[in-house]
Amino acid sequence: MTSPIAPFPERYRKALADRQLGRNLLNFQRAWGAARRATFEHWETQAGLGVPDPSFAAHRARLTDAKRRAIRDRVTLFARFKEAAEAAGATVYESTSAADAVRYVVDLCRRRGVSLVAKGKTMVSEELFLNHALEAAGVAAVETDLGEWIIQLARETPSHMVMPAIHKSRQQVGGLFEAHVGRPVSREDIAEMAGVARGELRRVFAEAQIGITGANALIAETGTIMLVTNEGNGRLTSSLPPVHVVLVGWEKLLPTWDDVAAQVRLLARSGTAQDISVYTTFITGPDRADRELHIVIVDNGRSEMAADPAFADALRCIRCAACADVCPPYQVVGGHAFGFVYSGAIGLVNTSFHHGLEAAAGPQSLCVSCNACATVCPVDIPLPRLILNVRHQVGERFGLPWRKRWALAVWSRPRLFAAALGLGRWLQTPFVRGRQLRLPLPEAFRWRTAPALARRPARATLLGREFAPAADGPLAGSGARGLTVAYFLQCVTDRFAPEQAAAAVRVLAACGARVVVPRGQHCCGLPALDAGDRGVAAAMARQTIAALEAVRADWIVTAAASCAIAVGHDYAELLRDNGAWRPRAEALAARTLDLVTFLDRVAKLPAGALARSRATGPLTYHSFCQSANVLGIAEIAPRLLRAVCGFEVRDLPEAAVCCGFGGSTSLDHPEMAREIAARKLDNVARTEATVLVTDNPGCLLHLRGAADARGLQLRVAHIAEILAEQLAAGPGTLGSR
Amino acid sequence: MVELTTAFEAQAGRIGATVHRAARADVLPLATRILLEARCRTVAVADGVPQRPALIQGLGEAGLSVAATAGLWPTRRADAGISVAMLGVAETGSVLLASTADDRRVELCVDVHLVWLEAATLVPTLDGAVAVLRRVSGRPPAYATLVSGPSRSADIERQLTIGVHGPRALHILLMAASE
Repeated sequence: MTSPIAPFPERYRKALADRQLGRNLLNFQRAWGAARRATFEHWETQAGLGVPDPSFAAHRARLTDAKRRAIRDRVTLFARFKEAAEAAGATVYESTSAADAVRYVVDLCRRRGVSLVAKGKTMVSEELFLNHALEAAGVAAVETDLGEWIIQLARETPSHMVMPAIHKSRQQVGGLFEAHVGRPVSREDIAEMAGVARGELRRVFAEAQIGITGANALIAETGTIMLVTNEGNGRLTSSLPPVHVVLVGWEKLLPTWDDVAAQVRLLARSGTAQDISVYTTFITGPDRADRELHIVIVDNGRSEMAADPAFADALRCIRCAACADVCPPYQVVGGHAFGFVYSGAIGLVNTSFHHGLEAAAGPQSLCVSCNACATVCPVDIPLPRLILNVRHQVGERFGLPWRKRWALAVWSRPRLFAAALGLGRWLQTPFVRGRQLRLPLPEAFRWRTAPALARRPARATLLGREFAPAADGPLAGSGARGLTVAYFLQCVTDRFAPEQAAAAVRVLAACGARVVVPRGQHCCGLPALDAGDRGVAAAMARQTIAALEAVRADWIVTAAASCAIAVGHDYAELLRDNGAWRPRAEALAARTLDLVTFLDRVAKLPAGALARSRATGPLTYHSFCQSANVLGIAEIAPRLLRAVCGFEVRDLPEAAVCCGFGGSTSLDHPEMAREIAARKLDNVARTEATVLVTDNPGCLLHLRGAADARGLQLRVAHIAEILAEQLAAGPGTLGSR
Repeated sequence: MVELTTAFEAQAGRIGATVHRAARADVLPLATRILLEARCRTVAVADGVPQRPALIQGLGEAGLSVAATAGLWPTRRADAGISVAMLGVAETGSVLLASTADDRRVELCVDVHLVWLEAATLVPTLDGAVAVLRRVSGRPPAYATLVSGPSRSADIERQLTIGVHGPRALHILLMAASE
């Protein structure tokens, strides 16, 4: 199995050089998002028909359960499928390897003297590079799905699992078709292009001696194949040639017909954002005595995946590609860079099993961990965590780059970290302009200025101190009154933005809480976790747990939402195999909150409490992507700003889409991060707001640097700062930089 | 409970099919009108269609050339085909086709597809359709397709294009239940 796919750096560079690609994919993602919302909203109006709970959440639970059972009971279910399919007259071949599956198909072509094969869309065929093998054997295999035919003519691989040629413009498609048919083809009229495909491919349907398709499901109960298409080529390919070959991974098993409706309902809505695909075909054995049906079962790493608890969840995938359709890095570079054969978030995971860890190493480094994919996955695959698992394996196998190793070595040692930053503070002096640095950065990094280290870190004024609860004031009667809050500073806030920590502590004390800032705290370990170094991350997690446990507090709160998520969602998983630490991690997680959630759910800030009659420019709010996608709190902060403070908050388009910071991703792939940050700042510009508020220091420093490099008159502030200013009610600070 | 026929009609319309409510006696004039309006000259009628001989005779008399089902092929097409649905699904606006391999050609090798659907066979949800598929003679039909609107693609710039390899128009002749 030789891969025709170019090395990752080449694919990445090519994608970045093609800015039309980014524009096409941005339009595509926006249109898809709107269409997806529309189809789910429409579905909810159909409850009167008796559809059981017509909602994404309810059906995701149903389908996830069905796929879990299918993977768990794969041996019995597959045996049932095989028996039933054979009883219906099909031949079921269990291939032993990718090469064996290819050999079976090539041999079948040879035995039947086949020279022309009509192909329906099958990702498994792409996974096996089957067309290359058929070509080498002298068999012409022609793709009949419009998108697949386009990329076959271009001699490319799919850049999207559902819309393989989404990276091509109509002009490019028209050019490819013209070159193929040898007569003029419009560069604008898509209907004409579809007509060219229809005319050309009729001959293929008419003359092919074998039709090859994939399958969307294997219904174990009756040995039935489910095949979903929109164009009708699947029906032609599976109906007309005397032999129909189905290439399918065994993970497509569904236990019973009861599980079918859930998949049909979610597949089209999640894939093409349709209510239902046009042709949903069920095939149970050959439909005539003189026809053959061969079902070639492909493993190619799937059993290995099933046996590995760190990756088994990925086998539930139904190939809808929704994970690509919401992915900010995918929007910038497309599926050739953000994937291998399979693209999108799932491609970063399953590539290592189907094509080797090396093939996954480059693509996985592009993930910004924004978690958008996890919110739309119809089978609830924890994609961000699985990608980090791949990243960890890449780090173990190939080693981290020396710069990262060094940075983490320093970062994980509090004293060394302090010394290094002390040195940095001295070295930065000639370059400081306000809060930012004017460093002579390489071209790729110039779109963002770096933040200056603060003169005094937050720890110098806050660490080990205790702040008395406010006895009176606008928030003193809040739900936090009488509680003790342990405040976690966060390393970045501490050194680069101590004013955010000071503001947060002020707000918490004003809410009537006693605030303590525990000694011994350093960094939660997120940079190591994001880099794929679980060992260092776990050590830093243990250190943080110990420091935060050392004080008696009702809640642990931080204005760094990323760290609250690390403590609240990642620690237990990171320490899952550690009998002593896992319970401690879980206990700490249960009482750790980000500042916004704390103010909303615990303090329950009363409406109007911080309304001040001050002139302020309009605000807009960027939700830290994980606040939206992991915590589901994107709506809270704007509500606080409006209801509690009385501000005009303008809705930011795509408010919860990642800003492109992604921890070290924006340093590893600055060209890509530049584009994602530009998408965010373009959206901000559309609101004409003069203040951009957010809830996470990482986003804040990144966006402030990008806005600074653009020369924008935009104040970028943490919501803690805004609230603290309202408390102080100093005149006219807001809205003026 | 929502009225099934109305719900089916609305959903089928939403996904691009055209629903014509009809009584049995009206099928011939209705089909003739649809075919002539779509400028069809040749039509094939699947074996399973009710009143087939009368329909074929009437379509012929209306000036349409009636093609033999067995002769159809991707390169020898008819302009239109008429076949019969096993049931309709209100939730999705789909018709369930379980034609034999030969009859299926009138659904595959044509540009305009007319489907005879008895209102009495309408089921509210996909679950209902799946239950029928599963229990037919103890084993599902060898080949069945839920057809939901005309053939379409969005493979070029995600622009909707109707009619790629399958029929570009789907007309559902919805037969009143009370006969």
